[in-house]
Amino acid sequence: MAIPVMESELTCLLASGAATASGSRAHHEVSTGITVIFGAILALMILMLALEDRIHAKKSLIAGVFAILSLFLGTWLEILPFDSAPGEHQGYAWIQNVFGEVLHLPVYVPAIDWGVIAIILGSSLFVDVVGRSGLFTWIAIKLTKASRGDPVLLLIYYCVMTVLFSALLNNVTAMLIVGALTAVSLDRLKQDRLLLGFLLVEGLLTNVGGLLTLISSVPNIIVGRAAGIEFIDFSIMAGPYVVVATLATIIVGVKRFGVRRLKGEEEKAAALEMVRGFDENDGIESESFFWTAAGLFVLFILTMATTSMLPVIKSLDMGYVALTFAFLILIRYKSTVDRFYQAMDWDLLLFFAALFVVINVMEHAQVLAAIGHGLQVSVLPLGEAAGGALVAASALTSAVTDNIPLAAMMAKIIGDLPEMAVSGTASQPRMDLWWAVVFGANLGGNITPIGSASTMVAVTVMHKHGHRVGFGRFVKLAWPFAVIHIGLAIAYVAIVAR
Amino acid sequence: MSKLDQFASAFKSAAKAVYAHTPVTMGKVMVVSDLPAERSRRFADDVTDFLRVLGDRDPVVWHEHGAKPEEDVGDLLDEIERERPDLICCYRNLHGRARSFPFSLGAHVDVLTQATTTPVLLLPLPTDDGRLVETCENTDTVLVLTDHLTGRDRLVDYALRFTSTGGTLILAHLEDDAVFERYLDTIGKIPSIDTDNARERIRSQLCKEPHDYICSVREVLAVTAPNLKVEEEVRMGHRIGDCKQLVEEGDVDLVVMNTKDAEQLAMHGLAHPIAIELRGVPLLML
Repeated sequence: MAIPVMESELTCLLASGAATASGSRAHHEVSTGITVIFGAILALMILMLALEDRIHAKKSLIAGVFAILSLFLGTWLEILPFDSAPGEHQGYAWIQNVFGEVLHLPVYVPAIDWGVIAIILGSSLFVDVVGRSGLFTWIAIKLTKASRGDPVLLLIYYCVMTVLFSALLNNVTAMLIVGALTAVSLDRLKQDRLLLGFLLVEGLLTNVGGLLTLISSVPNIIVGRAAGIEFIDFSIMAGPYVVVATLATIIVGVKRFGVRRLKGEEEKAAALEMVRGFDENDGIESESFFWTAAGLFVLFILTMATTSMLPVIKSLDMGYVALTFAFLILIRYKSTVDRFYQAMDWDLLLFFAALFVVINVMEHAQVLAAIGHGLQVSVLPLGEAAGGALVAASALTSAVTDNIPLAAMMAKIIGDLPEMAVSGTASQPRMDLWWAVVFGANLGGNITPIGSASTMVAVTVMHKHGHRVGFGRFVKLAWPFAVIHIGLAIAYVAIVAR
Repeated sequence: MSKLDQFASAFKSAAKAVYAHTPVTMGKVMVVSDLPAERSRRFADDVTDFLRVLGDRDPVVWHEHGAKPEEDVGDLLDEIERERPDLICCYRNLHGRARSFPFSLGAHVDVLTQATTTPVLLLPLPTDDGRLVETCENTDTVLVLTDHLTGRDRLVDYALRFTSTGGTLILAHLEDDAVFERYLDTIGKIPSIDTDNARERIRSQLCKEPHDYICSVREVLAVTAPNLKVEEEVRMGHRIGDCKQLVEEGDVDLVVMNTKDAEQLAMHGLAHPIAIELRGVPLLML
């Protein structure tokens, strides 16, 4: 069915951002029975996502099946906001732009947070193409050579690189780059015995580094957008924690895995000779493209950081910025852009889309309101300690299941709490609750190997090099780090992030 | 291909074998022949003159080993064990009768190249009066010939030691195109691999590694042996035909090859057929 939408209307719709009323109709009153049924569906989906590897099913398929089921049941039980009057647009949801004009869209379309999808799509494409320039491998090899082959310096540099790459790219890409380099460089330096320790520390630091910027991880994007936290404010708040947690991780890593400095001139000379063989320019096919990519990358970060201050751009938001930079850099590969589209992580993007649909249906089924109510009676009475408790609860939850549904769900729940409204019971919104979810969702991945995609990558590299690290062994190796990270986060949220 | 593999490949490619020079000592050289005493001495003198570059840096002790009645290869190995030379000079089909048939090196040479760790310089057959052939005048142009040059520092070290001051060192890496085509033929039958892309990328990577290694040799020699001219020959081709062509085109005085490795396979690879075919050029077999 063709829906006549004028270009100006669409522009206004996109530009209006938060002012646009998505499914502007108030939520239905639903029976407890319906809430329980949908609650069970949500719990089942989360369980299935936690068992993703066991059932050999991709995230997008699991979430997609549950989205279809939720939409069907939601429509059948009449809890979704369809047009009530029969006619041309029956079966569509309607949204209203700033001019009061009504647009009709399939009910599952406005359910998706397209801003998040645009940021992830644009950033992934941009980072992928920048990676082709050899920029990231150049930085990684430069740092390797700067260490002169000394294991302690190498660990420090790799840890810093992991944190920065996680912050500026994303934690999975960071782990792919640093993990691959670690395996190659330690092999060359004949320090294979340190590989497990290095990979573990780096894997854990991807989740710490993932806290540094608003675009570092998907939970940051979801919660940050829901909370209205700006890019710079996000980094200013998370930065001190990331620095302290990184330092603590390196110190504990050095001690726990017996990383020692090189002794004697002969040992140092031999190590220097080995790292001398690394050629940072090997992956650079075109010097001009290398410098263009480097320039665009810096500009991308700066634009992302200042989006809220830039005229025009601030109305279009970060998703527009990400997509703009993606298409700008794709000009280099203008005749083969389809290769980059093929290389996109469509599983992740479709997972997000389906997940947003499920969460939207759950909202209409009052499942999120029920969880929010539970939060109000169990956590919020703790007062100042509520943030810390929420960090722990979020971390434990995201340790055993995907942190993205947790973040998407909690963003809705916390956003609807009366405590979050300025005119609510508190004089200021409880920002510590938002930060609690951000810290908990990111750091939960440090408790178990299934808690985050980047630690899964670290475990994959370990397996590839003969280190069999199962669930139990990972937990045994990682728990001191996880205790430090989560303990620091609880204290930080309670003291600083209020 | 997963992204992890992509990054791992990028870093493996960037981790290059870099040449590190180790000086080669040539304190004692043993010249082995099956000639009677006088002709053996004459042959040894010619060899000394041919290898005069060895004496440029350090004094060399020359030990001549001529024909001895009832001597077998075991006796020769015993003498090598006693003398512990740094180099053995001999020619094909020592103590053999098949020297006019270019099908083998003879039992003595086979054993020498495989049973000892000492490099063997295989010279052309001496003339009837025990002289080294006229083409063996000097070692101005030395060719390192292998199908696996990358990281073979020892080959370069020895070639460098044998190259006259101001001479030319040719570093040649020859990829066997018959083997390459066989793999490509198999790749062409696998639908998930883009054959044209595979051909281009594999060929380019096979040639890039020795090229990068030669660049690192050049860097080192620019400092340690600035008068030496270093030439690069990295190509794909026929394992015997192109080797012969390289030797002929380069007007080569000495070919340096690898014949010993941990699995003793080298003499069954490129070195053995080349040693049989290239009968007119001295071969240093490491």
